[in-house]
Amino acid sequence: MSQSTQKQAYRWLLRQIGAARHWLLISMGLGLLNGVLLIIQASIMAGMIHQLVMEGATREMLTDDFFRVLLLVVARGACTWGREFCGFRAGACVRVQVRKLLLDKLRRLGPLVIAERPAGSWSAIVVEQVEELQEFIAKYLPQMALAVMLPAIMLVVAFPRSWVVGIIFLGTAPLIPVFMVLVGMKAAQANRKNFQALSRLGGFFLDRLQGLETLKLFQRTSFAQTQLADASEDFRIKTMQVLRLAFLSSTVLEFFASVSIALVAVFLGMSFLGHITFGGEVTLYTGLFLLLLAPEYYQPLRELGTYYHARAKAVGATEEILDVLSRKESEAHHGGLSLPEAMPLKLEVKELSVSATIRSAVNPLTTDASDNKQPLLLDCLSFKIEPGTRVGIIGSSGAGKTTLINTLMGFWNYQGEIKAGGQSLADTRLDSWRKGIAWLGQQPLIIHGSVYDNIAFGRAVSREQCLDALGKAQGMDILANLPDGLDSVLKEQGGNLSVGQAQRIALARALVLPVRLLILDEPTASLDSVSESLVLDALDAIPEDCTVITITHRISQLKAMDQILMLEKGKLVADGAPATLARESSLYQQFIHMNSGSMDDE
Amino acid sequence: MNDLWPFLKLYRQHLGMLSLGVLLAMVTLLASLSLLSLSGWFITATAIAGLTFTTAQTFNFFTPGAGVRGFSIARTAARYAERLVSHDATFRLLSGLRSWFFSKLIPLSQEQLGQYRKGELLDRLVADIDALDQLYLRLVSPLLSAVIVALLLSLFIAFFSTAVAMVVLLVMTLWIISMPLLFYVLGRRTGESMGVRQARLRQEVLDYLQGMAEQQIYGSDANSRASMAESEQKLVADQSRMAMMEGFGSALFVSGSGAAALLVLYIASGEMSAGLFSGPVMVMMVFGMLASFEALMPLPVAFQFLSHTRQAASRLRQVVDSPVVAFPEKAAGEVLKGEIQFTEVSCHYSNNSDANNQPVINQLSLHIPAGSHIALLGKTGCGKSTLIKLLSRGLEPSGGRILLDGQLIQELSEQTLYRAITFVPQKTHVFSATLRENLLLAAPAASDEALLAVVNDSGLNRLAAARENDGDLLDIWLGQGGIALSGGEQRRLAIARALLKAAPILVMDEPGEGLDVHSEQALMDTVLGQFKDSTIIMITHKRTALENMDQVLRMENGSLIKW
Repeated sequence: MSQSTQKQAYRWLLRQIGAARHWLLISMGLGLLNGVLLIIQASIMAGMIHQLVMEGATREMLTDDFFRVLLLVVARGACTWGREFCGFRAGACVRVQVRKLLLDKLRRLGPLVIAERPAGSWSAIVVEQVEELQEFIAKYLPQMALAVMLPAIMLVVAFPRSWVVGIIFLGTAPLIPVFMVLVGMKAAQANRKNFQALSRLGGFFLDRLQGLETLKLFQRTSFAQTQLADASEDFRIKTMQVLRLAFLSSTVLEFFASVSIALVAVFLGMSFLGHITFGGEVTLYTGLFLLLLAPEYYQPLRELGTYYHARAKAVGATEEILDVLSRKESEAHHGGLSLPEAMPLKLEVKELSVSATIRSAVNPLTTDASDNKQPLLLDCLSFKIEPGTRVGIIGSSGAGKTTLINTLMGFWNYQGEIKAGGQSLADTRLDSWRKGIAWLGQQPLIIHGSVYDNIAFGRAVSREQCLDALGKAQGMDILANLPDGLDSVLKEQGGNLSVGQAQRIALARALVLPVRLLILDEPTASLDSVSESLVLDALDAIPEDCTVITITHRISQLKAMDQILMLEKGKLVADGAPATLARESSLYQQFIHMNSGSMDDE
Repeated sequence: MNDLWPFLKLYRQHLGMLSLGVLLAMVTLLASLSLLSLSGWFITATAIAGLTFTTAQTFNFFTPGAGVRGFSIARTAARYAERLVSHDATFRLLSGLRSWFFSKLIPLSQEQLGQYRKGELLDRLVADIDALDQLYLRLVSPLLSAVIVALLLSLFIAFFSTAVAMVVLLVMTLWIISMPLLFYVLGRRTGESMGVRQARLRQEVLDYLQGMAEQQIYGSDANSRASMAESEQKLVADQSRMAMMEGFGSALFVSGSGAAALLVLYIASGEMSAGLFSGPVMVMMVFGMLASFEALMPLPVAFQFLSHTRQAASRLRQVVDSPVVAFPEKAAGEVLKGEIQFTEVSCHYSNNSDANNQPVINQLSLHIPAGSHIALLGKTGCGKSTLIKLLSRGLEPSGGRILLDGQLIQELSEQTLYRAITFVPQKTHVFSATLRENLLLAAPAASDEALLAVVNDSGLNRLAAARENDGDLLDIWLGQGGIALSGGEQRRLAIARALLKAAPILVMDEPGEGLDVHSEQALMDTVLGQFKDSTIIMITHKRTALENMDQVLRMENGSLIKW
C-alpha cells in the first residue's frame, strides 16, 4: 500500500459519488441547520437563565421561551435523523453502483480469470469490501464539510458578543486545519498499522487453526498455543506503541476543547468581578451563551476524528476494488452474425494459436518439474471435426487440452481461425455461437437453489423438460431421495448430494435444451465407479447428430471415440481414429502405455 | 445473555486492567461534566458578585478558577489514559480469547475440524472472536460508567435539592434502561435478517462467479444479475431500516439531552424562585444535566451491536460444546513393534440411521504384521482414506475393534498413539512460517544439519534454486505471506516431516500425488529406506513403488479384495 495508490484510490472513490451527490448535500444541509438551531437554542437558554437569575423573572413569565426551546430541541432531533438517513442513502447509492461496476468487470474478465483465485476471494471484494465504503460516504464526507463550516459560523456569532472569546476561539482555529492533517495523517496511519497488525495476528491464528490436524498428529498443539500467546503479546506491545502516538493527536484536540472552556469561564468570571477591564461589557446572557458554544465549537472536528478509521477502511477497500477494475480484459471481438439454428455443426480449426498474455498472474513456481517458459498455450493447431463425431482430446497435464476447449467456447483470445459450418467464429455473435453448446466440467457446479433452479439455470425451461433432461442424465433416482422432488433445495456446493449425483444434475443442465456440441472436461474424473458408469451410460444416449468433444485420460473410454486429438506442449501431435493411431502413431502408443499405469482403469 | 456468560467469565483474568479502564472512563466523564457545571456556576456567581464592588472584591475566585483549570486538564489526561488502558485490556482479552478457543478446538476430532476448515467457516469463527473482544470496549465499559455517572451526579445534586436530584436520576435511569432495551429489540430482528440477507447475497455472488462459464454458455447472465440485484435491494432495505434506527437513536439523544436540560431548568427555576438555592446552583444543575448526556451517548449503538455479538457467541459455543475425542490419560502400554489388527471394523460417516446411510467401511478385518509393507488401492470414495482416519482416531468406528500391538486403540493415550504413527496426510498444511519451523514441527529438537539433510533427501532443496535465495535455505518463508508451494512441493514437505519422525508405523495417503514418475520413485526409495523396519500402509493409485510392497490390497465399497 503505497502513498500514491492510496491517493489514487481516494480520488477514484470521490469520483464515484456522482449520483449520490444530492443525498450528501441534503445530509450536509441538515447538519448545518442543526448547528444553527443549536446556536439559537443556546442563545434562548442563556437568555432565560439571565432573566431568571439577574432580573428576578419567574418561570411562569418564560413559558413562551420554554416552548420555543422545546420546539428547537425536537427540530434538531428531526435534523439529526434526516441527516443520518440521507447519508445512508448516499452510501447505499455508491455501493450499489460500485458493485455493479465490479460484477460487469468480472463478467467481461470471464471464467478463466476468475478461476485464477478462489471464488471466495472475489466475492469478498464484491460483497464485503464494497460494504466498507458505507461509513466513509455516509458519515465521513458530510462531516468533513461540517467540521469547517460550523466552527466558522460560531466564530461569526461569537465575535460581536465578545472579541476576547472570539480570539480564544480563533486562536485555536488556525490549528484546526493543522489538526485535520495531524489527526488525519497520523491517526489514519496509526489506524492502518493497527488494522494491519490485527489482521496479521488474525492470519496467524487462522493459519494455526487450519493446521490444527497437522499440529495434533505431531503433538505440537501446546507449543502452537504458546506461540500464539507470544505472538498476541508481541502484537499487543507493538500496537500499543503505535496507539500511544495515535491517541495523542486526538488528545491535543480534546485538550484545546477543554482549555478553551476553562479560558472562557475564567475570562468571563474575571470580567464580571472587574479584575479584567478589557474586552468590553459582558452580561450573564453573553457569558452563558458563549460558554454553551465553547464545547460545540470543537464538536464537529471531534466527531470527524471518530470517523477516520472509516476513511482508512474505505481507502483500503477501494484499493482492492481498483485492483479488480484495472485488470486487463481479453480483447477478443466478435462480429454480429448469427449462426443458423438448425444447422449441423462442422468445425474447422486452422492454425489456431493461443498465448498466455491475458492471464496476469500465472504462478511460474507451481510447475514442479517441467520448464516454466510457455509463451504459447496452443501452437498452430489445425483440425476438422465432422458433425456428430465423438472426439477425444488426450495429452499429459499442461498440454493445452482445457485451453483448447475454452477457446472453442469463446473464453480465450486466439490467433488463427475457427469456423463453424463455414462461418468464422470471429464474425459470429458470441451468444449465437454458444447457443447449442453445452459444457460439463470436472467439478460439478451446484448453485444455491432447488433442483429445478440448478437444471433450468435461469433459462425458460418447463418442469417437464427438466424431468426429461434428468431422465436422460440417469438422475431420476436422485429425486427419489429428496423431500420435495424438483423443488428440493440443494445445499451450497451440493452439501446434500454426492459428487456423482451433482455431476448428473450438471449433465441434466447441459442436456435440457437441444445441443449440437457437447463439451466434456474429464466428466468422470472425480466420480466413484458406480456414478461413473451412470454418467457414461447417459453420455452414450446422446443423439447421434450431436458432436461430443471429451477430454479424458481414461484409456478405456478411448475405444468408443471416432476421432482422437492428442496434444503435447500446446501442439497437435496426433489426429485420427483410435484404431489408426494405435497402429501408426508412436506417441499415441506411448501415451497408452504410460497411462495404463494408473490403477483407475481396471 | 446465556450465550455471552462464558465469555464474560474470561474477563476475570484481566479484572484489574478492565476495572481501571472503567474507572478512567468514569473520571473522564465526571471531569467533563464538572468542567461545564463548575464553569456555569462560576460565571453566574461572578456575574451576581460583580453587581456590587464589595462582593466583587471579596469573591473567592481562586478555588473555582483552579477547579476549572484542574478539571480541564483532568479530562484530557483521563481520556488519554482511558483509551490506552482500555485498548490494552482489549488486546489482552483478545489474546486470552484466542488461546482459549484454540485450546477448546484441540480435542475435537479430525472429522469436525475438517468441517470447520471448509470454506469461510473458519474465517467467520475468527471474525466472531474479534466481535467478542469488542464486547468490553463497546458495551461493558460504557454501560458501567453511565450507571456510575448517573448515580454520582444525582447524589451530588441531592445536596442542594432532592426534587431536582430525583428528576436527574429518573431521566438518566429511564434512559439507561429503556434505550438499551429499545435498541436491542429493534436491532435484533433487523440485525438478524441483515445477516441472513448478506449471507444470501454473498452466496449468490459466489454462485455467479463460480458458474461464470455456465452463465455465459447458457446465456443466463441477465437473470442471475437481476436476482442478485434483488437480493442487494433487500439487503439495502434492511440496512436502511437499521440506519433509520440509528438515526432515531441520535435524534432521541439530541432531543433528549435538550429536553432533559429544559426540564431541570423548569424544576430548578421554580425552586430557586422559592429561595431553596441560589441562581449559580441552578445553572450548575442545568449544565450538569446537559453534559451528563455524554455518558449516555454510546448506549443505543452498543445495544444494537449486542445482538450481533450474541450471535457470534452462540456460534462459537456451538463449536466449543461439540463432543470431543476422549483419550485416556495414561496408556496401558507403549506401541513399539507396529503390529496392526482390524477386526470386523465398520464405519458410517454420519450417526443418523436413515436407510441411505451406507457404511463407508463394512465389516473389514485385516491383520498387518509388524514390519510389513502394505499398499492400498481403490477408487475415490471406496473407504481408503476412512481407514486411515480410523487409525488416527479422526473417526470412531461404529463397530469392530482396532488393535495396535494387541492394545485397543481407544485405550492408548494421545501421546502414545501419535508417537507410534507417522502420518503423511493427503493434504499438507503449510504453515505460514519459515521452512525450518515447518520442519521442526516434526522433530522439535532437530539440528539445522539434520533438517538440511532431510531437505536434500526430500528434494525440497530445489526450492532454493528456483527462488535464487541468497540467505539460509531454512529461513525461506512459506505459506501465506511467503512462497506458495506447488502440489508436488507440498508432498515433499509432508514427506520431509515424516522423515524427521521415526516411528514403528508409517501411514501415507497418496504420497506421490503431484510428482512426476522419477521424483516419486526417488522419494519413495528414500522413505522406504528410512522406514524399512517399520510397518507401512500406503494409499496410492499408481504403480510406482508397488514392487517394494509385501502386500497389495484393493478396497471396493468398504471391503477388502485380495489383489
